[in-house]
Amino acid sequence: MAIEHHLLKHKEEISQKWFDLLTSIYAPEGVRLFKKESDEFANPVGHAFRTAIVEILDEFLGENRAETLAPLLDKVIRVRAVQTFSPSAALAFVFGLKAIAEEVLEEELSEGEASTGDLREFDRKVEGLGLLSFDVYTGCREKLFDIKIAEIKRNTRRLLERAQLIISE
Amino acid sequence: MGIKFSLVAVVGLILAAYIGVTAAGLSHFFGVSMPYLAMILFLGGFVYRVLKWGRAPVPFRIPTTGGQEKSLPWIKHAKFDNPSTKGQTFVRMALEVLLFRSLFRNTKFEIEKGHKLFYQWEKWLWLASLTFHYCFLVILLRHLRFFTEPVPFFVHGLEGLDGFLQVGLPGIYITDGLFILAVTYLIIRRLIIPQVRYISLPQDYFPLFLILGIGLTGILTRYVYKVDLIKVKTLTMGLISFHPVIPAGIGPIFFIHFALVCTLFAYFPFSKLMHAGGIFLSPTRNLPNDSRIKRHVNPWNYPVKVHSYAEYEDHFREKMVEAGLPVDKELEEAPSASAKP
Amino acid sequence: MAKVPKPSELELQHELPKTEWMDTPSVFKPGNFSYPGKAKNLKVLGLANPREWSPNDQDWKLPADWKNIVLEGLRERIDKYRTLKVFMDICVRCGACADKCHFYLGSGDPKNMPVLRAELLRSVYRKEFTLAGKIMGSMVGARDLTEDVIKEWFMYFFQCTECRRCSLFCPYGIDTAEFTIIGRELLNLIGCNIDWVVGPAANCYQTGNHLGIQPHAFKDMLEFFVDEIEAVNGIRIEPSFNRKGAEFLFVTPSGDVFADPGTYTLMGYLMLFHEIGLDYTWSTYASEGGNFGFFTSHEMMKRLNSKMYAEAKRLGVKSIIGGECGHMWRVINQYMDTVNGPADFLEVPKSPITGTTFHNAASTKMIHIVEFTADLIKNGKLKLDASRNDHLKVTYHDSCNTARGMGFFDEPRYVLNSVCNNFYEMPANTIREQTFCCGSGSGLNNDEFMEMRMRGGLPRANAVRHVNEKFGVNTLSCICAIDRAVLPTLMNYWVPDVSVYGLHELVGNAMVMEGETERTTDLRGEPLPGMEDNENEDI
Repeated sequence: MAIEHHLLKHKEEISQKWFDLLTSIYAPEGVRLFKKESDEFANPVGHAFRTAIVEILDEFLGENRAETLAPLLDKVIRVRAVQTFSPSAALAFVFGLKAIAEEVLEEELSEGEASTGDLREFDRKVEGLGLLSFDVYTGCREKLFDIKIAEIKRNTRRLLERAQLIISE
Repeated sequence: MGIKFSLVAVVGLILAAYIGVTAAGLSHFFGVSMPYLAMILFLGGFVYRVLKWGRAPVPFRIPTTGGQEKSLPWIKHAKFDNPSTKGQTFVRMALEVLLFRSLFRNTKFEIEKGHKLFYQWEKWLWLASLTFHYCFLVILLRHLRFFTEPVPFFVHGLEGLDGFLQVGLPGIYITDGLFILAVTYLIIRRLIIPQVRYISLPQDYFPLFLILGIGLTGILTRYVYKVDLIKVKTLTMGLISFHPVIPAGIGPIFFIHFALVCTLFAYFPFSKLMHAGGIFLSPTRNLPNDSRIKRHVNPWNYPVKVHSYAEYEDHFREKMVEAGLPVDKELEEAPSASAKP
Repeated sequence: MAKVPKPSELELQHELPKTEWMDTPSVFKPGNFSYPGKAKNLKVLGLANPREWSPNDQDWKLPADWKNIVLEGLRERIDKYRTLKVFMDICVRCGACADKCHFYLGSGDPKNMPVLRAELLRSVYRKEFTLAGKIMGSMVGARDLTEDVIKEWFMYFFQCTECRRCSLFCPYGIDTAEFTIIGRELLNLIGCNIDWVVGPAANCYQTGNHLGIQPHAFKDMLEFFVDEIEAVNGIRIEPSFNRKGAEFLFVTPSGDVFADPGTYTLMGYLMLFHEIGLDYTWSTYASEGGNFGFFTSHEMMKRLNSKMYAEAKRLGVKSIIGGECGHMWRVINQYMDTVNGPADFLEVPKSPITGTTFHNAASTKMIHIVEFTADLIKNGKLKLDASRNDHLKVTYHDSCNTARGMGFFDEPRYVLNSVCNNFYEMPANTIREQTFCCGSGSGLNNDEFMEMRMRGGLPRANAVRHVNEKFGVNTLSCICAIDRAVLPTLMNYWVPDVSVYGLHELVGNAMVMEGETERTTDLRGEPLPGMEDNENEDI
């Protein structure tokens, strides 16, 4: 718990770095768009990323409950899942948290307030977050396939029903 | 790339004028030939461009509607965002041209930061453009005093208003400062916003640098080098009365300023600066949304191949009769139809 | 052999190498393009270069003189359209449009900025038609027309939904949809089109509607809905087809005939017309209100649209009523009278129930069913029980075409407020003239384009989520057939507990009809408020 205590002190710095990392994957002309602070309706992706990251950090450095974290991760990953990234590129940002933690704790580490052992423990926790993200990502992609099928069905349901090829409920 | 090129071009122009006037004895060229040439290019080019646009027909009436259409009498009509008459369209165009209505639509945003609402004003581009264009206009009108004798009252009035902050001599014009600020904003914006930089071409930077150069040299002539205005007026009045004279001792800074202005005029019709004329011809703004009320004719409308009802019925007659749908020709009247699939 | 990349390397993969837009090639990946037009459909429509091909292929099998064809096509169109001619020259690249495009907002891909989409065409124009471009080339943003440019056009002109949101914010009114429409026309000249556009267009041309429903099946489908309505309220409706001498011809998008939830909207139309005793007919020949020809070329739009007036003339009706649809209404409002008019064989539409004359349709002689209904309600001609929609908390999506190509805002809102008690607007910068596109318009509503549609639709979905969280909105109403087809999918991905309703479905629910039996369910068979426990006798 000790390391989380230290990390929480740097929460703003961590969330900024994490946000930068999250958006660094886009072309610079897109990065600027997503980073721009504007209202959530004029910039839905940037807004979702910015708010979700803080919420994820709060929960992750606090209670770290899977059932709470999953919907928070979903806010980011649902967007990534439809942006033509490979799954690995879409989720790489999660693992970036390890390096960020080490970076912001430089002082604490050198002064012995936090140990490398703590850091290793934290790394393992991030891996858990990564696995959870994998579940969320897969869920989004499965949803994507589901809605494709649902749409095709909806578009012709009446015809099939009429042709008595299917039975209406 | 585009930035360097444009900057070099403007600096090159300045140097050319300076060397030309001071070392090469080209005062006559920069004081007489160039302005005449520039005006010919400007006027000729402007008219040519507008006529060329105007020659293209407007096949369809496709205004972008920005408010409630004219509908049932009890529904409030947004007359100026969605005009249905020529008069209303005139107002829409006036709002567009005089107040940059469309640019003003960039709304302010609400941002929530830890339960507190912040408002972010998104109209900087609108404000800077409006400032820029109006300052340009005032400065242009102020310059009328070099081309009129006696100077019209409104030019004096403008000068009075513009220079009411009398700090020392000569009085400082507010528009000069605002103009430089606005142009600088437009340049910086183009450089630092990645999206805008990505789409910017040399022809976007060049006019900005040119105009900034005009502004700065203009200020220098007035406040720093204090060019002899009587001599300048002799030159300008000579130009417009077609009896050009070059009074001695005007100073190179004036010629630099003058050369940049001439370049701007000559360049104008061949560049995006023609948006000044183009906006009046923009079919999404200058037409009323009345195409359900009045027929709009497309001059090149031509007949096209259609699938007629007769062909359709020939194709489906049997099935239609079987389903009890009325047909124009009964089955026995059209024996050939049954042969079709 | 490449090593397995570290997470940090994955994150940065897109940042380098950084190239100017002209040097960045288009990469076709599953999910970012639509399948190409099938040869058989191109043949039906008489379009150029029918062949089997795919955008992934290296060789697009373009005709030998493709370059000439495209350049000549461009030259011809610059002389025919003042929009194109003026818009080519006056853009100052201020960037006001950039963040107005839903595709750019969702993807961050700079080529989805409207200004750049237009520059794709402008760059070629500069090279071929301006002196500066010929001499100075890329220094002035000019470039040669190459096969790569064609590929780029194909990618980005089929990544624009012609929603015209950018055009609203442009200080000169530059309309990217014009570039897209004409860009697609040019692509069509060399046989580059998508099947989701030419397929429906071919069906519509031959059979009368996008799905290719034959006349007997069309009638059959409507009779099927008659049964469904009878099951809900005991009223037997008898629609007529291809009937000469009717007062009105009614044309609606065929999506309402076969695709849920448009089918419920169609039941609403049937109920309304029955209740007021309107003398009208359906047509199996003009059985399509939508116009996928508009997504092919101006000419194809005219060819498909011609059926409405032709059928009205043949049947001898007085005027035409059009159903709820977006691009159909842009065509009717801004093109139909010009391309296929004058409709001098029709009369200025007049409601036989209220006596209102629709002067705003004095020339086209065609009215929107929503204005017709709004007039009925205003004059107290409909008995409405809005509480029947109390199980729905409703918001309203303005479809792009009726919003920015017409200005149709308060008519649907008036009707909505009359037929339901819980109506909540989405935030101001996402509705009315600033409305966000569904992300699937202009013929891009195919399933292979799903990822792009989901990110393009995000700005719209995001605003719906806002009212969903804030007010508990569970119903997204609209007056567009493409919306009805694609918004359920969009909602399913982003805001799963919101359902999509056509406006006249809500009218059908609320309307108290003469002689109806007590309703326990709405048109979807879901229990009405207070009827949830109808089967349990204990309440």
